[in-house]
Amino acid sequence: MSGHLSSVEISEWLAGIRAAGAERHLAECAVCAAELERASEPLARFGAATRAWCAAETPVPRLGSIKIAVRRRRRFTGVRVALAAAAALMMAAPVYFRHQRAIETARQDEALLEQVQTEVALSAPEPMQPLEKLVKWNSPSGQSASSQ
Amino acid sequence: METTLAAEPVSETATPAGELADFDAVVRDHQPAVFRFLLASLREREPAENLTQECFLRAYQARRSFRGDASARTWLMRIAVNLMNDHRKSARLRFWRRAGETSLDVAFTGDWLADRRSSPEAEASAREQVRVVWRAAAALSERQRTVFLLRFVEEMEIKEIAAALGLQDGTVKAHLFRAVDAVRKRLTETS
Repeated sequence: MSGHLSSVEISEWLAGIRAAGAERHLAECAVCAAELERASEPLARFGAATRAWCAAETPVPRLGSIKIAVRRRRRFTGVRVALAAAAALMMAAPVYFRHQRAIETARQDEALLEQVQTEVALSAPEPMQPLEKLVKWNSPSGQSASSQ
Repeated sequence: METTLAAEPVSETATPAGELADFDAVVRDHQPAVFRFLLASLREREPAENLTQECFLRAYQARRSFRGDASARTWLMRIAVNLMNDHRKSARLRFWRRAGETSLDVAFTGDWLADRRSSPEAEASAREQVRVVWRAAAALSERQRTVFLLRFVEEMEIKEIAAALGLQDGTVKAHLFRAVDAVRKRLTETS
């Protein structure tokens, strides 16, 4: 390497870009080693000052609060699940009750139909049944008049 | 500060996944660094605190998925960077765009310089240097600033930064070079 390290080469070195030629030169050149030291000082001061400033601002580690937050989040998740279940129930309930009502209505219809069919199956209305018996008794074939 | 500038290659020690089993220790050991990085990046204490808590909350919830192929610090920083990026998208980097308007005006960070043995003139000069670096950092791109803070505040190695940001080593070096060069130019202009 001819001459000293350029400003760019010093910036490269500070950024971790370590060319073998620069490394050899720094090992041999006190001027460039001093220049590198001088260039790194403001960065080192900046880091130290920032760490000191942040240290004064750093809250005490709050593992407890983190665990509480985890529990809260889990509880919140539980609440969300419960709310979702309640919402699903609210949506499903009318469907269920409508279905139950339909079943009950169908059952009542069935019973009514059965009743009607029973009534229709009777050969004559109840008030006329004595007359029907009389007709049957007079029939020569012994068969009911209604059946003829 | 003892920022390592040695030429030897950086190395990252892989951490066994079991490290996260003692989560109390993880919080105790890493919370200051995570908060520091977020505070230095956002320059607002409240969001930095909230994001720090959120970072550990997420880490706690995801601790069983931690494979241990990176250090716990790197893993936590990756979570922190992601949270910060999300926050920035919503907050639009208010602080950095109105540098100096906050109660946590970092111009005073120069007052936190530990070395009080130097002369008042040298001390004032050092303080001014810190202010200049802060202002220069404010003008960097978000990615450059993040890399810059991880390197010079958190003193993370290139490989660690690359792992935390999901970048190649060379990309980190390129961002860091641009950041360092810009900061040095600003220092030269103001000296």
